[in-house]
Amino acid sequence: MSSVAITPQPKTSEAAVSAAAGVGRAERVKRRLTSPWATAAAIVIAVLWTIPTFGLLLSSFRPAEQISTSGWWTFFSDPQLTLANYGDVLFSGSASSPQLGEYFVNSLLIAIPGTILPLVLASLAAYAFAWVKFKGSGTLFVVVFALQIVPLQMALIPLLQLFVTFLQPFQNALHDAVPFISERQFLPVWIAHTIFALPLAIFLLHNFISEIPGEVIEAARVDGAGHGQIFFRIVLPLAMPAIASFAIFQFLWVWNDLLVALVFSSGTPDTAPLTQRLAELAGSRGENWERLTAGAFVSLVVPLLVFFGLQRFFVRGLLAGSAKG
Amino acid sequence: MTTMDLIGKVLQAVVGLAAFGVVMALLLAFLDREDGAERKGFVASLRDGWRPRAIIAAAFVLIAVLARVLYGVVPWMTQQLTNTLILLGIAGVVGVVLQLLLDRALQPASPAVRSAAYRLVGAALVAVAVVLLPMGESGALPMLDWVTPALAQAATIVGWPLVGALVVTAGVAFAPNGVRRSLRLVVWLVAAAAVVVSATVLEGGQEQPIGVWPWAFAAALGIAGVLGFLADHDDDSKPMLVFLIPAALLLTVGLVYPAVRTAILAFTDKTGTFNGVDNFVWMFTQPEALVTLANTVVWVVLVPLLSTAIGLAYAVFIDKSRGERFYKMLVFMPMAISFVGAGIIWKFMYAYRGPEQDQIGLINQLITLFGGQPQQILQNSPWNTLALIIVMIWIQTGFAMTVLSAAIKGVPVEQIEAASLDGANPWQRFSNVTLPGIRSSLVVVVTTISIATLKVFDIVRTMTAGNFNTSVVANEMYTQAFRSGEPGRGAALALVLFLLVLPIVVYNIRVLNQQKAIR
Amino acid sequence: MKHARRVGLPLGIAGVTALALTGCVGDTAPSSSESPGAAPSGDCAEYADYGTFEGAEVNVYGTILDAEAERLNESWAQFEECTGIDVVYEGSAEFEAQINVRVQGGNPPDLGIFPQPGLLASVAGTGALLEAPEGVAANAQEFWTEDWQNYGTVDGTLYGAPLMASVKGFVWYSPSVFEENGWAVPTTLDELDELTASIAESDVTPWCVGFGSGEATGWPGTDWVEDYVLRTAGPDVYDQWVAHEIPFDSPEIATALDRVGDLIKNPDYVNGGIGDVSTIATTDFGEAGLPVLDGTCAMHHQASFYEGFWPEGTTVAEDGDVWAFLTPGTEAGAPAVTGGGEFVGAFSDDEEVVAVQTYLSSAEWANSRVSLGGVISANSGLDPENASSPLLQSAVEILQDEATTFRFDGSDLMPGAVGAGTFWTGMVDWISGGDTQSVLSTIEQSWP
Repeated sequence: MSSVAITPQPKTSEAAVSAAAGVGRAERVKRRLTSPWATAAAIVIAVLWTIPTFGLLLSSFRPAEQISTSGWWTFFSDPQLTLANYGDVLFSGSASSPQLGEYFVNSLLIAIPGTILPLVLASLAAYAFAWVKFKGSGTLFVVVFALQIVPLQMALIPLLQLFVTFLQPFQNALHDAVPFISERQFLPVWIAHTIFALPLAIFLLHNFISEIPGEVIEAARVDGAGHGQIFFRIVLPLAMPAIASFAIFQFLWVWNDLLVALVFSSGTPDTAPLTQRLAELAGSRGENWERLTAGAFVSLVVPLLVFFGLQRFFVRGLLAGSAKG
Repeated sequence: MTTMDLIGKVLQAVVGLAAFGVVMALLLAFLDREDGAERKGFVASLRDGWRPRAIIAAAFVLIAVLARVLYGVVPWMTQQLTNTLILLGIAGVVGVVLQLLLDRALQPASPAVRSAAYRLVGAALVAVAVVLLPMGESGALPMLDWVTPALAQAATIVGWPLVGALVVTAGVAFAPNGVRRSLRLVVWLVAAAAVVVSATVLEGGQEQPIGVWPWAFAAALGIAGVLGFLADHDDDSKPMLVFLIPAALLLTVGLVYPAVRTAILAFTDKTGTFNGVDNFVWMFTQPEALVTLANTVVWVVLVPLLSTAIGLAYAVFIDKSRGERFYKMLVFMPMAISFVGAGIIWKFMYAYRGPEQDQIGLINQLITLFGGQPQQILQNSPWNTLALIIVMIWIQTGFAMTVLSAAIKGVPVEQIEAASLDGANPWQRFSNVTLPGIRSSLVVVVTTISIATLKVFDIVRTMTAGNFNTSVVANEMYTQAFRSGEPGRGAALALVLFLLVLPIVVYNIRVLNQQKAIR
Repeated sequence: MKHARRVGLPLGIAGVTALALTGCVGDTAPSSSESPGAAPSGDCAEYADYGTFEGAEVNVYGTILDAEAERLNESWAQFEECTGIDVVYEGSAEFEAQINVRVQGGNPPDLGIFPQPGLLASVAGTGALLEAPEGVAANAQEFWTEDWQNYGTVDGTLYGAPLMASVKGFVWYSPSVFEENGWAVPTTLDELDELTASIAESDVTPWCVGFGSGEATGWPGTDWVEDYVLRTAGPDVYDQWVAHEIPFDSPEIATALDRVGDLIKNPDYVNGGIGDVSTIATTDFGEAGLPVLDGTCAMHHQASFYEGFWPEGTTVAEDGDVWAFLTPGTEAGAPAVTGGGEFVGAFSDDEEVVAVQTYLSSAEWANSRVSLGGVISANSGLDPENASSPLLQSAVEILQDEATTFRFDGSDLMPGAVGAGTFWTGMVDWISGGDTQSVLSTIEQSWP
């Protein structure tokens, strides 16, 4: 029942297929690749993947006591909607724990640098591993790759020690110098996210950057371009789709992270992200989970916007640019 | 939230990103500098001319003057900040002058002499700082009364090895090429060791532990040495320094050091004393331990396989269809939900009520609809592990689909055209053209999902807390290290996790080498 | 021109140097101006002893969240205003794990509100926790019984005074349903068994139970066991059991567990309004008692804080929708209760931290917090009238009654590996069909 509402009916796709028959190379290829069975299978997968989230969405609009006594599908026979859960989550502010908006800002201010910093560093490093020949390059790359498996949990305490020793004096000095910057800052969270993202980012970007045809880079070098120029003028534009896709994933991971925030953010409204606040809203014994249903959707909005915003990059194809060059 | 708070926060991000950008730009400028005689533009004039130096020196003077003038006028210009800025001004002007004098004096000299001279001057500057800072701390220099004992100590521990290393490498500058490289590497490594040794010795004599920073400095010196060694080899690899140093530093501090620490921790008990392989004995004698290991293996086999397969199929099916973006969004959506959110969603799906009551979980509703008995899905081993695995697949398919869909679009249309002209059916076109075309992306996806699967613990923790034979190694590790206060056992489990990943690493290295061989 | 510049540079250097020598500001420079602060609105006389600390900040970290955290902040608002200390509270559901991370990472809060003495002891064992300052020790002496003081004491050193308290072992029921069916509140455990049997003959299921609580699933089971051990084996055995002076799987414990099993593993007695025995392990403890309201379940065993779990509009009173009696002893009279509470440990001995810690251990704070509602304290300076509901008033009276034998929740006192580990999972195994003896010996083996 829900599938009708949220996915296009099979007919539409079939109609599209028959309409596309004929002109254009891409159109012809498409016709041959798409069979009714494939379309049907795609729709089945899409429905299966959507139902759980859809159920949660409906639940988040249902009165708290109904959520735990009847299934969400009973909504269709007995529609009762309330915005109380969202009201709870969005506007239950007070002096010590303000409304959600402030945490939203924090989440953004953590996630944006937490995405940009590792991406810049990783794309530089990936370029070095892929296109700068030096002794031990292979070994070093394997080491970086293997670092992916160092469990986050095991790195928390040593990193916190380092931050307390090195970063805290600096942060306090900054606060003394510019009083309206709190001494509880985002810096440790950014650095932590950057560090934890680097191995995977270098590994993924290396894979794409190393597939850029060697002739393109050789040609640039013959023309006398330095590594910096090659990186900015050739590698970066060509790797943009890969960088954009990784940016989406990294943004999601940072946005949804709770563990790193628990350790490295202060937990106060100064720096705590949305996830930390939502975990608190759930209550110390996890009893208020009707709030969690609404909270989950509040925090879902931004990642989806990012996905839509960056999608055009990888729809173009990861290697579309290099194929032309 | 007051406006000031908001400004403070946004300022942090803006200043932080700007500072990062400036540092990276400077590094890249350094990278593209040219060693030859040809000098152009501002960078060149910086080397030759008076004007840029005068401007820079004036800027430093201005900073110092401004600091002095603003002191007492605006509240945020504290005494400490004023002093720091004035010192910065002096240091800046001195630096500009020194650089000018050296540059002038050394212009006719050979590269070896130049390198040696720069190193010696650097050593002298560090030495001055190392001498001055403790004096400031003891109160002998009023200007430096802000120096803390810790800072003075740090200067001593790190400064002298650095001075030594600079002086010795200056001497080595005149040695023949091959010897010079090796000697420099040795010197830097010795300096790194000296930092650690002197820190350890000093730590023994005082109550307050020095902490981990000497290790960080030692690591930095070591990295500088190794990278310098590599970069010295031929001119082409020099830029690597710029490209790798930031990442290498962060990784060493944030991951290599914790990894080493974990490896040591695995052989200690909770008081930190060495206890041999006790932790591993504990692990393999616990009745649940084998179940935990077996579960982990099931997870790491099923999740990557199924989510990649489904993601690939979906990507192929919807490729170039109308509404592709919308379709993608549907399967991508679980990726955008946090693990905790996913846990709630699926608890809903699996919820159980007695047969005589209304079901609130969809799965049990369907079971009863078809006349079955409602099941305790999260409780009935071994099916409950499968139920948890489904959650992970549900999340990771979006990742596989997104990456693979992009890869499919990268397969040249001409090749598919050619194959279909040869009479290949859709399946043949897929397996002969598309699949080989996206092979490397497939490897990446499977690898990434495998590693993510091994590390995942949120799902298990929120849905069953590892009860009912569903625990996995990562969950057990968290429980032991943070809840039960047994960091040694947690570390031992982390080592086991590492062993489980080793095959994946080895396979990827092989693929990597094959690619290198082709290129 | 060139000549001029050559002169200019050294001049500049000289200028900066001169500035530095004359301009570096010494101690006489004006320090940041201290504002006298807004005039306190309330009466600050009673806070005068704590002193004033303009601009000081004290970080407090604990498990208390959301609305409870609000009230906590409210409870010391007046204190903050009068002393000038800014008390910054941070609550986290991950406190138990995170406090270890922060202590080991060198970034502990100023004060920690420990929900379990066992955790307080293990953190004290790392040497990070500071001995309670004099004022706190004096308050602890004055306002708390020796039992309570001992829970904040490790190896003879007092580390923290208790904060709030909860009384466990209440049995929630619907007075009207009891009245209609002619059931009487039992005064001994045997009577409770008889009552259970007679309820089972009606069409109401006697008990509804839920062990589910996310990653802490199983703890409601430990409360059952502790209540029964304390009552059937007595406080001495209870102490020995908790301190591991007798094995975890001693016969006394097995007897107590079996007696719990007689009630909640009997398919005829559970799981009212929810399902069969197998539902206990996964039913969320917060929802488990709700069937009491609609009459599908007669009794629900849960601590005093369950008062806050009833849906809005439920009256909790002796003649209201729900009410609770204390799990009876083997004999009538002489109540024995288990309970829980928090302890405030300090990681800093700065004066403002000491002031806050001392205030939190005082009777003033206890009255201030309790009158905001929802909780009680075992502080003897607390006026029971301040408790926000009849149930809480009765709980305060139980705690302050000289005749009451009070014992702290045993799982909170045991080492984390057991008390927050195998004891929980063991209860889940047991209720899912595990045999009493093997479950107990598995827990015994895991004792570190």
